[in-house]
Amino acid sequence: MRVDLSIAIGGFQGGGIESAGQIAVRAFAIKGHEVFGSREYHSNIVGAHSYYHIRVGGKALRMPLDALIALDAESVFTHFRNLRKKAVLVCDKGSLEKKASEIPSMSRELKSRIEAAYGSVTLGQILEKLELNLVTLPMAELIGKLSETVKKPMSSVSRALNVMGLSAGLYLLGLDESTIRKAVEKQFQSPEINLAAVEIALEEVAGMERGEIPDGIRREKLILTGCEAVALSKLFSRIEFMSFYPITPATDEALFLEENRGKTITVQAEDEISAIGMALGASIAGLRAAVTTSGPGVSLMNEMISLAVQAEIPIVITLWMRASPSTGIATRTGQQDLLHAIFSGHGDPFKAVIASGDHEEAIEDVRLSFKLAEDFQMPVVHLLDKYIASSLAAVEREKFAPLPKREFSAPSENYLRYMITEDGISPFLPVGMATMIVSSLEHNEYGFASEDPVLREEMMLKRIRKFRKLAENVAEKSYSVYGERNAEMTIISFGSTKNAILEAIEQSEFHTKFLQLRILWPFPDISDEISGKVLCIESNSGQLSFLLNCCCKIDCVARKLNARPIYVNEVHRAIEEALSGRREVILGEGA
Amino acid sequence: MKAHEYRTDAWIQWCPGCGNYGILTALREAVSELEIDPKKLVIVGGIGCSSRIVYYIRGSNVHTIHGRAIPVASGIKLANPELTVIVSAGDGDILGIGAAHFVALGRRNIDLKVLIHDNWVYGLTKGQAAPTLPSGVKLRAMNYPNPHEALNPLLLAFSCGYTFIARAYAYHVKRLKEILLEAIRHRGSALVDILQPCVTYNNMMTKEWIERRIYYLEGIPGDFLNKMTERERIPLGIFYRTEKNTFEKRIEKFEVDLESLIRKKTVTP
Repeated sequence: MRVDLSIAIGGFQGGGIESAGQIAVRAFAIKGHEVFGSREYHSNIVGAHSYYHIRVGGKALRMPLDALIALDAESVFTHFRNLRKKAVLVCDKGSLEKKASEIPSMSRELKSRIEAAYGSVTLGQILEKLELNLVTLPMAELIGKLSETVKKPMSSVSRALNVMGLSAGLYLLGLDESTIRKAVEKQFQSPEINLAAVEIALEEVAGMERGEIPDGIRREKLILTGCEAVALSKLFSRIEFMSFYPITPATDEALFLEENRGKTITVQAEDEISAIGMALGASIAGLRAAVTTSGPGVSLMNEMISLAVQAEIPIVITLWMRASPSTGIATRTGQQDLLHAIFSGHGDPFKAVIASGDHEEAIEDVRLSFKLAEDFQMPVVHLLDKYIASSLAAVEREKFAPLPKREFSAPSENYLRYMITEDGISPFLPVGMATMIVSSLEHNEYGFASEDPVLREEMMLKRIRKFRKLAENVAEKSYSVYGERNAEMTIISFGSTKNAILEAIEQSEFHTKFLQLRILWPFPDISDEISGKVLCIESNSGQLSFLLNCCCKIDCVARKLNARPIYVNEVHRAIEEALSGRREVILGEGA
Repeated sequence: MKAHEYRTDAWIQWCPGCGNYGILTALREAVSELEIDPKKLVIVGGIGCSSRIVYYIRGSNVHTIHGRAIPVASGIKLANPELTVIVSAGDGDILGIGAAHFVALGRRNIDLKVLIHDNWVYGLTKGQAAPTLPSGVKLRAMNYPNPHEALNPLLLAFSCGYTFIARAYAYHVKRLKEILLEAIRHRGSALVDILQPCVTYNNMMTKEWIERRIYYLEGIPGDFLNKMTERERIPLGIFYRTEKNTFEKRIEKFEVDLESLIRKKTVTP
């Protein structure tokens, strides 16, 4: 039986919110339900508000929330307006006495919005006016109890507050004790204190009115973050070299790969330029190589990307987009690097740009990225975002598959690194196998520098033919079509908006179809697929619509600009607004 | 292979009298003496007059971009340790735009040889001050005297962890070749700072200016820091040499079982 829930768990950064979110996701998975969890956090080590948003019964997030588990008052202040009527709110008894103005870590913008709407009142006074299923826990008391039970000082058991709040909340929603315990056991190496915390929390809420969560389809589920999925797929694909410079959110991927690298060489470089420089060096020497970074890193890598184009060096650049420009909001999501990815590198930067819509596509696209980079000897940008990076989703084990190693034929007598061929692709040999010059300068077939106009034109044409061959090669996989053939509306989007749009068009009362662009460069021609009005949905100022203007007329652009993911209900709104003739919609939900 | 067999048929486009000719000759002789198979010889250039050397020696060479020869060379060496990988680039390239990589290479001690073609100027862009040019000096093409202090490549290399540090002179081909042989034989990051006149743009550090000041060290000096900082006279030779684990040896490799990783991430009902 399908259960449909939207749940948030909030607290201060460093207070175990991520662990709590992971436990919750696993608990629902153990129970047999489809589940997805997204992590929202500040660019801060400890203290700022952080939360986990969980969707049960879907692959995308939606509002409003059916439940909020708040480990502190700030979490309630941040999310109470997203709660539906009669939603479950679990919070600390002490929180009710707090006023927004008394919470130093809360943004002054949120404080003033709350005060403007409710006046200078306590949280308890605000909640009284709302129709909620409010459950307050005496958290300090419960920690005291836990301290006595496990015979450890308060200071060492207070960390278990996350598990206490969470297990009380999950129990009230209808999960059974044994499922919660299983999920907690999976999370911790020595779960004793946390299991005791579960017991104390459940004693506290025993007998209260609670929901019901029936068994779903119970089976094994592989649950990964986007970063883990991509790193693991690189390892399955027999990556041999990866270099990186620490940057959110790519570091999570880099460190997971580094930890499990086996024989893959991983190097933390001195900067992003060196990271890609080393990877290019390794690729020149014949290794399968990638870098992982975010928008600012690609800014630094630009000149190297151009080198890879000119010298025809395979390289995969995993680009985890985050809210920008500049440092922007480093820990939040966005799709603002689409044009940057496509046009990075100076001077006709031929490359492929692949965008994944979710974890499973990301796993497949890692293989495709390596394959295209190596077959066409050029940079490939694998475009992902922070939303995918740090969210947890179930993926099919079968999505992971090996990729044959790079192989090179024996060198001929007069090897020409840049041999002019019909399709523009020259046989690749690594340095060490033949004499050659791999050159950033315009060069002849051997690699010698030349400024001859006829040769220059031939080499430009060679690279253009190669790019055309790439376009032919990817044409069939460059977009996916979902929904009804003769729809009254065509939604066009790319990247992590996929599952929210899919769910929305499935539920929508209108006849809609969805074109999900998978290969963003070479840009696909989708003009034959358009039916009805065209709605473009993206989390940036309108970059995809800008590109689409080349091949179709856009009726409406729905943009999300608040650095939070796009929710299913926002897609519904965008469809309605577009059908009613609006040309521009700003989607702004989320805390 | 004889030294002349390392020649290519590319026309050498340096100015007549350029110090690069001396470096080219000495490097060809060194790789010939070491019997390095041209396929296994990788010369990596940055951008500038000096980096064109990749076209003039038979090898499996790479011409990169300005300042970035070291990262690319590092990737090549880590990928295939059996190759002889030599970075050959200018003082502006290595110590200006690429300084971060020069620093990082010392910290890693990758088995790379860095030859700095040190002529105090940016030649190919027509005579701007390079990081080795002393302050107050105004060369032919500069608009005003250099407001920057010079950096000392040898001292910088020492503080970064280079395990072989030498200085040579481009026109003393035989002595330069001897130093290059030692540098290539050394296992670890090696710096050879090669003084050379820029006959077109450096009207101060001329052949005569250099030759009046240089002298050769007798063996590796005990007080190498004093020798590195000597200013009135310029000592040449090997200043410092030590053995340390290379980066290649510091990287740990192991067997990884991806299936067990998958199991760890799987929840069972």
